Amino acid sequence: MKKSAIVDLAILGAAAIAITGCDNKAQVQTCVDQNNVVQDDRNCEQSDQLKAQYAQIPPRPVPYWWYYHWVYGGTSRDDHGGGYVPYGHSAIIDGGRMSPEPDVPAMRASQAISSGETISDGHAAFGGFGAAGEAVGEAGVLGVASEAPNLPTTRGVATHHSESRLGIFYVGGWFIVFGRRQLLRIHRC
Amino acid sequence: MCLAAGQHIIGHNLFERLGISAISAKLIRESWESEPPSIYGRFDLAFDGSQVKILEYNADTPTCLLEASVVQWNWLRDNFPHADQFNSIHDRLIAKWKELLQYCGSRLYFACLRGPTTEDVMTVTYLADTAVQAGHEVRLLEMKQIGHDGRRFVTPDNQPIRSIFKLYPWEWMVGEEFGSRLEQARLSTDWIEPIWKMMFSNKGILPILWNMFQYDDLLLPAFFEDDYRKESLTEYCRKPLLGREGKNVSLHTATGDSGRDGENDGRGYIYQAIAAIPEFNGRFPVIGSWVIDGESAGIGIRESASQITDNTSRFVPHLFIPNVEPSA
Repeated sequence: MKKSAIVDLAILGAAAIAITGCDNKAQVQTCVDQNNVVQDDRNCEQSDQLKAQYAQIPPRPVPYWWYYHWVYGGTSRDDHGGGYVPYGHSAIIDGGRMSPEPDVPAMRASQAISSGETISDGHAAFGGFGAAGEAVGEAGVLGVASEAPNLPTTRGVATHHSESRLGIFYVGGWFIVFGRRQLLRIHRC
Repeated sequence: MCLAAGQHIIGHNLFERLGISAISAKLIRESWESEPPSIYGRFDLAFDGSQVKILEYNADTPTCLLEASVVQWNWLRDNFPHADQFNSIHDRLIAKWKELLQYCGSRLYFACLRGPTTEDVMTVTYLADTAVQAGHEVRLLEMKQIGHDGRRFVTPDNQPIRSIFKLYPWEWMVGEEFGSRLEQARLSTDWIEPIWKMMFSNKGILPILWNMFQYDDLLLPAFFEDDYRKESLTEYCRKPLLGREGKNVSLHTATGDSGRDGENDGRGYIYQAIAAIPEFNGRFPVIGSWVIDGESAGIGIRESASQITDNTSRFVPHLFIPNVEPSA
């Protein structure tokens, strides 16, 4: 069928690098509980603060917040089934590290879509959409905990990145990022 | 056929049959009449080498878009440059966004849930990318970042949302806290896909299509749960009205029953005759036929280890060799 010879992807091309973690540019930081089930970042943030306050040894009985911790890298899995189901916070992270890899910046999985974080002056209510995904607790198809970079909000982005001609492929646990004529990078995430 | 079926649902007030509330039905009627823009949808088709049968229509939140549009195209260009592919998805998306430049206002928003997996973010980011290439200014939001100021839907910095693409099922939206505000804000925000897609993403469209067009070769016999004619099906597939990703779908064949469990939402099932899906080395391919702006735009193939295609299916690129004109 007639179509452009080359498919240009500006935003996604840039996002793919961050998503796949290729080039070791970033490692994904995900908040999980004691069963490695993904949880809201706020749990880990709170846990970090409280752990710092309580210092070395957790008091008895161990409080629930003690179990929240960050995982760096790893892959997510979910046993739900085809079509589309938005991901919630019930995916399980396999593998990964308990501490960040040195010299590699960590990015939070929860910031995958991160523009517009500023909360308004209180006149508007927020959070009225998006609850079902968490309640149902299903994950999407394949992939890893990820983050896309902040996306620009101005016109002309495609021009700036017009040389980005990337494709990405997920095969058997491998992300393959390739360009117009050559395989650019294979990365086990 | 689907458009005729939609008109039939509205004309005969069949919303309750589909488990759609009266409030949602009102919004659907209004949306149907005002014809807001629709970008895409995906028919899942069974093909046994001679006949094509419609398995279902993913009208509201189809994914596997990037794989079909870009990844398999790059695979073709890199490996088989002289072959061709059923694929103009990318170009048609850009063309549709260009058409909507005036309609969508100064900024076009895209929203989905955030989370640890990439598929939703990737699909929405890809669509935003095509919109940018069409000349739109875009901004991505998390669904929870959509606010309501008492009159209209707004961004976290209180900017009114005039047009927004959402990768989030309508049946979930209408049931959530802001669902009750959709009617009040219906004139200030255009949602893409529009709410009338609820009629088509509902599996109840299948028996309605069968009732209306049962002599069409594309259709499989399909019946509602309370239709006695379902007894005529010796082998069938039972699907929930609002099922996704193969959840709660079960197959009943001469060789036994199989299926995928899931939470029963109590909204009922439909029964559909089983289509012949050929097996290739233990894999069952289903064709995802993309419709962009109302026209066929290309296909993607997913292979599953069973006849129920789920989210562990593998995307397989395709090609065809163009016919060579006979020399004079």
